[in-house]
Amino acid sequence: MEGFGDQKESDQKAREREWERQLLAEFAEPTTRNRAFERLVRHYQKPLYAHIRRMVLNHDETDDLLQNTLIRCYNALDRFESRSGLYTWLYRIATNLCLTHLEQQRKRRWLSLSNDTVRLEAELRSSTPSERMIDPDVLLEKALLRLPPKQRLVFQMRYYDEVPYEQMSEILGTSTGALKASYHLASKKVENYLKNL
Amino acid sequence: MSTPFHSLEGPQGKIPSRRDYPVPSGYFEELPMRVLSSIDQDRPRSSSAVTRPWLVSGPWALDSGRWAVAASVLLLVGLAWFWMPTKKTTSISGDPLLAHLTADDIVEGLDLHGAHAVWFQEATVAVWTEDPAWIHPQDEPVLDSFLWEQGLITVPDEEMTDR
Repeated sequence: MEGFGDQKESDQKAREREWERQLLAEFAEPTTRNRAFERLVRHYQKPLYAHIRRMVLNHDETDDLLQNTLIRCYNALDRFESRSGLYTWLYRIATNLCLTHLEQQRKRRWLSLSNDTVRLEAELRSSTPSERMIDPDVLLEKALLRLPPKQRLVFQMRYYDEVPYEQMSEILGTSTGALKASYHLASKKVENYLKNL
Repeated sequence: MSTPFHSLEGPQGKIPSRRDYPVPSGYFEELPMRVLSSIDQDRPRSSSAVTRPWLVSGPWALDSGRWAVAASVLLLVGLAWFWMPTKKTTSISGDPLLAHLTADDIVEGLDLHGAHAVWFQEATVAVWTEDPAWIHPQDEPVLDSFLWEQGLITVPDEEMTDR
């Protein structure tokens, strides 16, 4: 049945490519540009939101970063060359904006002598009902806050979104070997943290 | 997919991602319109709908950018004339002591005095460009990769063959 599964996957990819091609053609026409973009936003907004929110945890920051991602997408979509899928490209923009944002915050906090993990834990608490703080998914999220941002990102993309290493490599500009090693190390750290709770 | 969380895995498999991040009601319904209106606001306004004064609407009209450049040039010429020295002075860039120094010499000299070139670079290079190649390789997986290649860390076989 594996052959059937492969066939199904490649049909799905072909449909996605066709959908993207039509969307880009519609976007290229000034009269249908905004309608095409609205379709694009509706299609990708939820997974992108979840991806960003897992990194920054706070709704307002997620909203800013998501809007920024989509605005940059609108401004550059004309030049999009379809070398990667549209979602991979959007994911890459969002990821880079998140990392830049976290880095800026880290620098700012370094000046104010506060701590990254403490702040992110506070964000997590404020966005989680107290009775849920001991649920496995929230505990896992808490464990992930102990990882450096890039390693956390690798773990989240692989574990939650099951992004293939090859696609992650395109998004993050890092070799698949390094990503596998990074994921493995992140898993070990998270496992240790959860064991010692 | 194999995960290290066997002890926390439930009957449905691994720990799921949170799907219940609270968002304001109607957030996703309104987002496309909010983004499009931000884009519209950022876009330069069309000039055709605005009544323009005779000075900028006749055949001699220049757009606002050109008027600004023209005004700036006039102002500079005026200031240069006003401040023109009666006697020639030597500017610092014309200093014969500095003239023969290369950029490397200057950077090295600044470093000796504790002023690092990277600060100047950070201060003078734009933080963001519109280059679509926004992703820059980050540092830590490079270290991981190095350790991995040196055999100092290992990855289980099933992860190496995963996907």
